[in-house]
This record gives sequence, structure tokens and C-alpha cells, in this order.
Amino acid sequence: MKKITKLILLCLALAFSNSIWAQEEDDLLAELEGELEEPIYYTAYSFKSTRIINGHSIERMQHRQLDFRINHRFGQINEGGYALWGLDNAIINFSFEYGLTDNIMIGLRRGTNKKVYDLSSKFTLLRQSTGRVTMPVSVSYYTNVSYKTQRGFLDLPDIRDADFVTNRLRMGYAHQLLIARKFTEALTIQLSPTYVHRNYVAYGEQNDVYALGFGGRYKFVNRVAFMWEYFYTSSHNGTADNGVTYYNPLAIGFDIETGGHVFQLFFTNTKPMVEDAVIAETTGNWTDGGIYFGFNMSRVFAIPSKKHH
Amino acid sequence: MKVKPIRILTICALFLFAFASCTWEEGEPFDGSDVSDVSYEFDILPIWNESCNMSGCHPSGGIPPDLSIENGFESIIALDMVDTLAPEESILYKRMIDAQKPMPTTGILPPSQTNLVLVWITEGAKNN
Repeated sequence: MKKITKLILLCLALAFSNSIWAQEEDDLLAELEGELEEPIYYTAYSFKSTRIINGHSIERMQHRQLDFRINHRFGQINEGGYALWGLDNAIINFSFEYGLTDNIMIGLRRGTNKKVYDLSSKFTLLRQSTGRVTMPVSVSYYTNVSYKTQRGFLDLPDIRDADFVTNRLRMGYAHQLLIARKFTEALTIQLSPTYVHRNYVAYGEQNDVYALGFGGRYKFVNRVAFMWEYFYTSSHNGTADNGVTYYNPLAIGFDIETGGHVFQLFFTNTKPMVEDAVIAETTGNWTDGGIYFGFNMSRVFAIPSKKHH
Repeated sequence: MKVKPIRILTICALFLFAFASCTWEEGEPFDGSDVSDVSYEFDILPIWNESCNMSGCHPSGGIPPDLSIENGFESIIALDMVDTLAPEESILYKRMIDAQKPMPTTGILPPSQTNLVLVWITEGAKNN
């Protein structure tokens, strides 16, 4: 209703009833206030990419954005000069992650370790904001399903010879709740309660492993940030019944952002890169040379809409 | 922006199908006591071919030992990696069962395979 019409009605109402006058005035004031309503200021760039180091951050791809990412993990740094301190011995994990919407991301990934494929999805549940709505943290939910296609896996039959029911045992799952807060432009901290499940494990190991991730980012110069990430796996560190000793995965390194690319250089004690293996199969020991150098590279592409053609 | 609901439903269906495959199983404890008459050509070499002698690892001309089809046996013997008098102390076997510094680097092989190597060494590490 146009304002002039309201004004006329207001004058007419004045002539008849005090209560009607009050109600009209309230409506008019409310409409004016709505136009001056405080916007919501969403926090941007808690992290500069969808990963902290090994694990996911709360960030996801925007609608129609594709993130092509290659993660490298080299050999142990105490392999000596002949093996170039591990650089000769590299495994990779490459992935495509796409924003279905601004708040839903799906990903497809393939890794060298156990020739694993995985399908993943990340949903934004809450976004840190100030203004009209104050939300102290950003929360995302991440899940993935992985499938190891290495022909010989543990003592299972060759994948080519086994039936679907047996090959189903090669699957693993991860669920993470990612909770992050950007405290300042320089500092973001994230907690990641995590549950991973492996359908089939060696004798003496556990199918279900729980962990709590603690990671963050500290930007100390423009475009370069110090990153760290630690997962405390309460039930799964120490020596398993089968004699293998597992450790909590820790990674520390640097994020370098250059335009559309993000590079990460870091050291970590975990060789595998898929979440269920990072949490449950980390055998490297920081105090015993079980340290690997890693290099992640990510490039974001924008996929144009068909309507623009 | 609008995303077709059918795309979201397809993704959800994929995940639900995958989650439906969730199960809890554990392997049997390994008992290698009945393994004997291990052949290098038919039992050991397939292990090298599957997990060891690819590019970047132990192919011909790569990091020693050379575990290629042509040179594997000679390389292992020349580098003194097997000890037929104390098979469990053989460098080859000890390296393959070290879960903390795994070899292959992506994770040690299952006991069914490492035990084959042990039994092969115990039986004299022959080129059979």
C-alpha cells in the first residue's frame, strides 16, 4: 500500500477512533523500521580452502564453483639423501569438489594408498555472523564413503574374483561435525568431532574409531598462514591387539594463497589421506622419524551457467 | 539459485545406498603353520609384482633391492637380505613386518603374504 494512501487513511481514522489511529501508526512505523532493519554480516574466509591440512574445514565451494585439488604425501624424511629425504617416494590423492548450492558441496576423490575412491558431501549448518543475527560459530557436517579397490586388501580375496557382498567389506565411512570460529582476521580455530567406520579390519583392530580434531589457522603475513591440525583418537592410539602401534595424527604447515590457487606445505605423521585411514591407520611416530612431507595444491574454477550463453 | 531437486535426491540416494552397506567384520587370526613348499616363481614373485616392483619403488634400476621379474631373486641374494639359518632375522622379512615404518610404504602386507616370504626363506630361499 502506498504511503500516501496510508496517510489519507490515517487522517480519516483520526476522526473516528483513537485505537485505530494507534494501530495505523504502529503499522506505518513498523514498515519504516523494516526498511532500516540491520543486515546480517556473515563471516567470510574463516579458512582459505576447504581443508585445514588432512581434514576438512568448515568452508565449502560456492554454487557452481569447482575445486580441483591434488594432495601429495612423500616418503619418510629420514630416508636419507639418496631418496631425496622422501621426495622420490610420492603418493597422491586428487579430488574434484563442486558446490551444488552455496551450502552443499559434493566431492569425488581417488587416492594411491590402497587405490581408494571416495564420494563426499559437506553441508553448511550454521554460519558465523554478527548484526541482526549473532552466531558465534560456523558449523558444517561432512561425510564420506570410501572404497578400496586394491586387488589384495588385508586377507580378502582379489577384488576381481570376489562377489559384491565380499567386496562391500572394502568400504569405509567418515562423519564429522566441523565447528569453527574466526576470532580475528588472523586467527581461526576449529574443533572436529569425528567418527570413522571400516567395514572390515584385521584381527585385533576396531571397526569404529572416534576422534576429536583440533585445528586452526594463524595468518602472520598477507597470504601466508600457519596451519595446524591434531586428532585425538582416544580409543585407537597405542598398540592394537595385532601388535601394530597407532598414533594420533598431527600435521603442521603453511598455507600460501595466490589468486585462484592455495598451496599447502606441511609435515605430518600420517601417510594416508582419506579420513577413515587418517584417523585409524596412522602408524608414523613424530619422535621416531615417522614424519612425511606433504604438499597440497588447490585451484578453484567457476563453472558458467548455461543461461549466460 | 535453484538446483534441481532430482540432483539432490540422486546424491542422497547414492549416500543412502552406500550407508546401507555398512557392516562390522573382523579378520581371523592368522595361522600359517600349514604353509609349506613355497615357490619363488609362483608364490613370492606375484607379491613383488602386485606390491613392490612398480615405478618409484623397486623396479629394475630403481631403489635396491631390485624386485623385478628378471632380477629379483639375484638382487635379494646379492644384498644378503635373507638368512636361511635365522629366517626371522632376515632383513627382507623384518623390513616387511615393520608396521611403524611400513614396507610397502602404503601399509604392510597381510600376514598371509609376509608368512609366505618367511616360509620361503626357512625352506632355503631357493630360486624355485
